[in-house]
Amino acid sequence: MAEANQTDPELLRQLDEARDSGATVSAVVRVKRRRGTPPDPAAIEAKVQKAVDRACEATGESPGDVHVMGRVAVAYVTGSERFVRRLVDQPEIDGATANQAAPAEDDP
Amino acid sequence: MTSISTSLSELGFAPVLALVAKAAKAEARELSAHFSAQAESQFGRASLAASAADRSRPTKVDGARVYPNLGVVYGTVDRAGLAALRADTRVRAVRAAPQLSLIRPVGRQAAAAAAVPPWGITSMGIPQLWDQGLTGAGVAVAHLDTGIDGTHPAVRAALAGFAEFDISGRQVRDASPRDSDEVDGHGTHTAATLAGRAVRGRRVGVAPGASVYSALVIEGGDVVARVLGGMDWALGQGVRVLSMSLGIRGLLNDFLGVVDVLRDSGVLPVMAVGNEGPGTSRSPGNYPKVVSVGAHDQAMTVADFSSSQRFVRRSQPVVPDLTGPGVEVVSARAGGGWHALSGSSMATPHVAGLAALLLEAKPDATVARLERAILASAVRADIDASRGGRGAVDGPRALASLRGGRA
Repeated sequence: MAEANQTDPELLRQLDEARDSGATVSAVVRVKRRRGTPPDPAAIEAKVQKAVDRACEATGESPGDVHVMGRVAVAYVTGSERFVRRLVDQPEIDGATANQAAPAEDDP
Repeated sequence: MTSISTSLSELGFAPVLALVAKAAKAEARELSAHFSAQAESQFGRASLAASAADRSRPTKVDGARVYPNLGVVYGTVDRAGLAALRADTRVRAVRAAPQLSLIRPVGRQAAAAAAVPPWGITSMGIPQLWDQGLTGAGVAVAHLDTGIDGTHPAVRAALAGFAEFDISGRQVRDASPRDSDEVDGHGTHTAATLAGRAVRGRRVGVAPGASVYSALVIEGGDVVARVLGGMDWALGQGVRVLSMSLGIRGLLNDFLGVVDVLRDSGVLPVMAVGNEGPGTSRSPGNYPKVVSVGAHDQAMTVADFSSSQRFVRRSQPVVPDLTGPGVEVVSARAGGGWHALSGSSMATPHVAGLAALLLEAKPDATVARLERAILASAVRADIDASRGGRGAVDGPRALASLRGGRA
């Protein structure tokens, strides 16, 4: 049930759709960090690497793309629905958001 | 991101996506009957078909937007509408709906910058801070927007760095400064208000000595990683203030953790609240840990379009925190010259520019101290607290507060 707490509904929707279609999913994952101090980019990078490695091992798949933004403690990741779900479940990950917003209404 | 239940309990309505069952895609349009047009909704009055004469009760209208090819219906529901959607066998699932977009100006006019500073700068008392030698010199400010026309004389010297980001949040190589907004030149206008240099004696920038690090993070295909990439880059440039006039409609948690990072890194986030009127706001401009900025006009009253909203939370329950000059603001036009735009987007760089002036005066000020000084400066005057928070921002009062005197 951790996924329900960590993952935004739009990403869940995209994951559900990708399960049927086999499409690649793009997500932004938030990496756990110590509050009150600026993130250490190298430590964030290492955490992402660990989480990705474990997700690779568990699914037998590789991510399509990983881009770590260490100063803000997030990473952009693309991969299969199975891979992204497994990645979000890793202990280093604080939560995840769909990278692409839902269909948008025009600005007034 | 805020759940549907949270939106319902805090606001009484929620923006949702109804995912239509494959077999029922042809009937998607009929589902719009479950959606409500709120008199004061996330999406603003202009975009809903609510009747002005009948705002006392939610009206069942075709306020929803139907995407038949996607099998998605998008709109606002109240509790009854949500229950009806969930009970409808044609609906596969109901999800909260995120949305990230530019806070587009609500009005634009041709204008010429005059020899005297624009009304917004004068009304904030900024010339009094200039008279004390404060220009924002030595202070780096992040500007996340549609980019910047780096050839405009008002911003050319202010621009210390420019970067453009792709959908993965990666910096685009060899990108030259440009403004992607061909309609308003949004980013050029806001950057010049923030830190524009004098052009032949004409001054439109609040902090004409500050260094601007401008990131192009939004245009068509708005994605979260672009904005995060811009923030990440800006932190690497050593900025102390971040000015951002874009956001997701509604209260969504996508950027909550990142706002904490900004503050932990010594950066004050100054963000626009939105232009969709009362009962609306945008994230992250409606977070408690940002300086949330609405717009007032020359009469020092809150602009009709300026968003405002009350949340059920202990910290900063009302947004915006305060207002800045945001109606008919004259600033740089991309491509050359000047024009006037209106919006909370225009008010935000006024406040961010003030933050740069204050940091020059007291470089060791913490984010919390700086924020307190700005908030304490606000003058209520005729501004209704439910629409404009603490009131209109004021430069000399902020400086006095920061220096330990009374605002």
